[in-house]
Amino acid sequence: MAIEREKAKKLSVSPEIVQLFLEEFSRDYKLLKEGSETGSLSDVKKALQGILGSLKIVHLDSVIPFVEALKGANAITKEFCQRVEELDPISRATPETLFQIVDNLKLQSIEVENTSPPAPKVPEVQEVDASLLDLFYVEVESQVSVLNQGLLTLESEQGTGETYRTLMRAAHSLKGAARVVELAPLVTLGHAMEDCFVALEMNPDRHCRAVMDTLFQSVDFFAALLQVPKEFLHEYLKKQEQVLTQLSSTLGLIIEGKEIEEVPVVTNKVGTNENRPRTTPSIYEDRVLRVSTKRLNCLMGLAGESMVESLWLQPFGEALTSLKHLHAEMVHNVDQIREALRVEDVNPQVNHYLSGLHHHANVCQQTIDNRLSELEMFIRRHTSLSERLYGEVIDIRMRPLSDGVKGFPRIVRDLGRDLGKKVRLKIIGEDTPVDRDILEKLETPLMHLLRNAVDHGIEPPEVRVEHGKPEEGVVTLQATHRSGMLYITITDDGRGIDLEQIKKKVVKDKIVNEEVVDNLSESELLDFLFLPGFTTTDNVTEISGRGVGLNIVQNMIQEVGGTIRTSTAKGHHLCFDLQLPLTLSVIRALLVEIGGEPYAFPLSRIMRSIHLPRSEIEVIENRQFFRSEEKNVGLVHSSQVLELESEPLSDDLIPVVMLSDRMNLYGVVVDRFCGEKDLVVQEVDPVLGKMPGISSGAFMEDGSPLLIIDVEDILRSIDKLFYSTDLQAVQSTAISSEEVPVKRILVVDDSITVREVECRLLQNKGYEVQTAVDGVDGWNAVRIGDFDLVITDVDMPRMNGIDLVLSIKSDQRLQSMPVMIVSYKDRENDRKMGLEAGADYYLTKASFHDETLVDAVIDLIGPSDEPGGVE
Amino acid sequence: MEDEFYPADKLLTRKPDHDYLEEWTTMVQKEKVARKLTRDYSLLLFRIHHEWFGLSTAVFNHVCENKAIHSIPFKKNPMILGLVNIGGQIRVCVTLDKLLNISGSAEKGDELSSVVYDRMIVIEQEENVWVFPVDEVYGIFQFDVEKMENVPVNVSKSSANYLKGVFLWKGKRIGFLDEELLCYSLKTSL
Repeated sequence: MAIEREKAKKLSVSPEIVQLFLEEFSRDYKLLKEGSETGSLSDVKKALQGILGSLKIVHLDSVIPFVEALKGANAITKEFCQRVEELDPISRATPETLFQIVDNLKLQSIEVENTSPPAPKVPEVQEVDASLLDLFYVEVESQVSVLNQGLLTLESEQGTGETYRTLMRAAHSLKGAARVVELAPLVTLGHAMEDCFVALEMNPDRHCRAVMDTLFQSVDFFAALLQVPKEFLHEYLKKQEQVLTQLSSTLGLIIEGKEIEEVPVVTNKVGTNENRPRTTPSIYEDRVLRVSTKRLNCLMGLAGESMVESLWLQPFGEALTSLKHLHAEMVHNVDQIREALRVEDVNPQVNHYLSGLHHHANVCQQTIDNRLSELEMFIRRHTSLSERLYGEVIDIRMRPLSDGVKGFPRIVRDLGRDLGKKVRLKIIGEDTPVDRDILEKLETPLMHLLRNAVDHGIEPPEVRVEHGKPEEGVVTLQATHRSGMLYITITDDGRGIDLEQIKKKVVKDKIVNEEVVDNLSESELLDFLFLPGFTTTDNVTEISGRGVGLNIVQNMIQEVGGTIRTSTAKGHHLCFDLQLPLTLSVIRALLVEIGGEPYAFPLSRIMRSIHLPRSEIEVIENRQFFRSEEKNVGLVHSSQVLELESEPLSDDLIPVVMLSDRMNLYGVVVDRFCGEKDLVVQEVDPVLGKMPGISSGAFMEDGSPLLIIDVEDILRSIDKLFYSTDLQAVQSTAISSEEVPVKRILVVDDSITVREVECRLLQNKGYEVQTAVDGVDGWNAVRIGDFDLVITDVDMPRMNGIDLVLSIKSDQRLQSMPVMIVSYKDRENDRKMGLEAGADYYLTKASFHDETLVDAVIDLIGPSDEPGGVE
Repeated sequence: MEDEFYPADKLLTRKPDHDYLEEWTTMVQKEKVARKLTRDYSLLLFRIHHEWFGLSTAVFNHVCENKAIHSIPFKKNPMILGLVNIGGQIRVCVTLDKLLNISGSAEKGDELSSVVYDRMIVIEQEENVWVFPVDEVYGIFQFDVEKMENVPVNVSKSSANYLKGVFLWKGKRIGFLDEELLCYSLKTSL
């Protein structure tokens, strides 16, 4: 009988094991009960699994079927919870009573009811290879945008068979990709979407808002995945089980041709704009590569360098050509000698040598000819190659406009939906190449203009129909290249701007008075829109109307070196014209020499450059200036501003660059002018940070570096210079205080708070303090700097305090330096370890009052102002 | 018939003879001498003025000719010489003289190469690129870690900081530079 068998087995299971079983069971049981209360199926399953495992170890076989039945449940119902309660007695058992209790339980294998709706079961999610996930993300990104585009086309009734096929393919790809990375819930969703598209193609009249919304939401679900970091992906999917289930079932209904409810719009404004990897190089087709910016910069640098080097070849080839001519002359001389010698009688030996010379000269000539022509061909090939390489690399900077505006049509549609309007975004010139930096900076202003258009511009459908316009408003975004500039236009066919309204507002806000306002032209009136705080609407919506946006748009465009203009026709349209440079990386500059080295002034930032006759310089109060067009222009030498060495100018005509800061004019004297050039802007190694007076660098034709002046910075320096020379005269020789060598302390701790606190404490007492963030940092710092004392923590990454103390004390030069440990660890053992390592003091942070630390420091190295620190 | 067709087979599968077996048994029986694992440092050797240094090839990027150095306005740091063009990018050029406290000028016997060119060495460590001029680059050589000696007491305190040790080689004393400390120092001094 089963019970007897169990009794027999029980004798072979030791009490310790039983005790362990009971501990584990009570833990799992607790989790089981919690799980059933909160309704977490996964917790419940985990607990049941644990229980099953431990039951097997103690051979409590009679309970096993019961638990297995519980495990097979799909939902946590009341019945389920009741069944769980039946396991209660076991959790209260002791090793002696356990088997008795189990015998009495008489648990039956029960059918736990399955009451969950017939939704597709969401299967488990497994671990997957990280690099496969990377590829998965890339696939999701591209398919999401295809799906969005296709759905928008469908929605605007312009879908063809091809549209459906594209959508089906996209969903199919997503399904396949999800299968590769073993994300089964996504496979289900992708499959459902695919079937849905098939169903819709067969019954196009099934289209309705609810259907489209569901499809959009499914796409959004995939898009949202892009924000989830790889590691948390399956956790995320587990949490989203409900959402997935619902989506799948709704799609199921659509496939079956059933009616579905209108779904509330969950505008998941995950525009693919935010997810775009900034470093992807330009792609016009489907294949994408991820490249780090560092590699790209390196590649660009080398390509540029290669082109500069190839420039050397041409002059070299020409130099060799003159060598060839020289050689020809030499051969000619030899011939002349031969002619001359033929006349007289000559030593046959000499004749012999002469023939030899002539022969060698000819061979030489021949060789030079051949090599030279080969060289010329090589020069041609190589120059062409490096130019093409450089051109390709520079083009990497350019991306098609579509890359930056992909998410816009969807956003416009959703926005319109939110506001109860019908709007469509039309994009013309998607392939227009735009510099990637400019594209990045354009995103925000363009987005804002589009929002304005939808919010203020486009009227509600009824109003539009009243005015005889089509119900759906159209916003057009157009981009072209024209005469070396990039033109972007945003037009909406909405209500336009009422100029009278602007006039009224302008007068009301007292910006301009009534008489003047009537004389203003349309463009002048429209310019008011760009004033900060100016708005013609009285209500502020979430979208716009605060009067801040257009001003910021204008600023951003001007930052890039572009301009923005507006035009309108009331009731008809409003148009924004943006004019932008093609690329930020090339600027036109004036090359000058300062201190014998090349510098450049961006042409757009200087007023003028002139040669000033020395005679025109006037002096007032020791300051030099000159007159230009009725204004006084202060004069200053560039080398003084940049604190460089320079030689005094000897010429009568002095090269001056005129700068302006909107109020004053300044003249900066340089050594000489070297012409205007187009310069490719290079970033200077960021390790120097922002260099004062300099914005960036570039290269001369021969590859040597030059620096581009930051005009605004320079103007500030000039101002400072003018002030300080005043002060310099006033300042008498200050009493120099006796220099007492300040005591230097190094604080090493990985917690920034502790570092700050200790630092401030000690600085207040007059010590000079430097900090280090961990042991290695501290070890480096202590070897370089000259410290009188080191205060260190114990627990730090990379190298702990004990090792640091040991290193210091075993170093010949640093042995004698006092070291103090300040740590949270206050056990006797830790203190012993610290002191044994060689620390001179061990303080605990717990018992750490401000005075304790300072007292210890004074004890070790004396007060800060006492001379004679430790050598 | 088969035997005739595969004489090579016969040759290769014949049984070894007695002497042969003896010979090889003895050889295999011999006590194995554990091969000493030599840890070698691979160092680039270069000279600044009078002194020779070795720098780990782990940070060594490349050597190039002397380049035009553009001064940096406002900079008063004596260690920074200016900016140079390395591979189409603008990099900082420093001088190790001050850092390593190298005094004295080169003397006759200092050189190792037959023809001496001054060069610039480009090193890269953890995203930072540094360039410095040297008087002579000799090449890359392996140094046995066992042969490394202590830095002698009379080497100045500041430069001794940067040396992990010293190698005596071809009659010259090569200071083995601590590349981590060097780069750390350069970074923090900016």
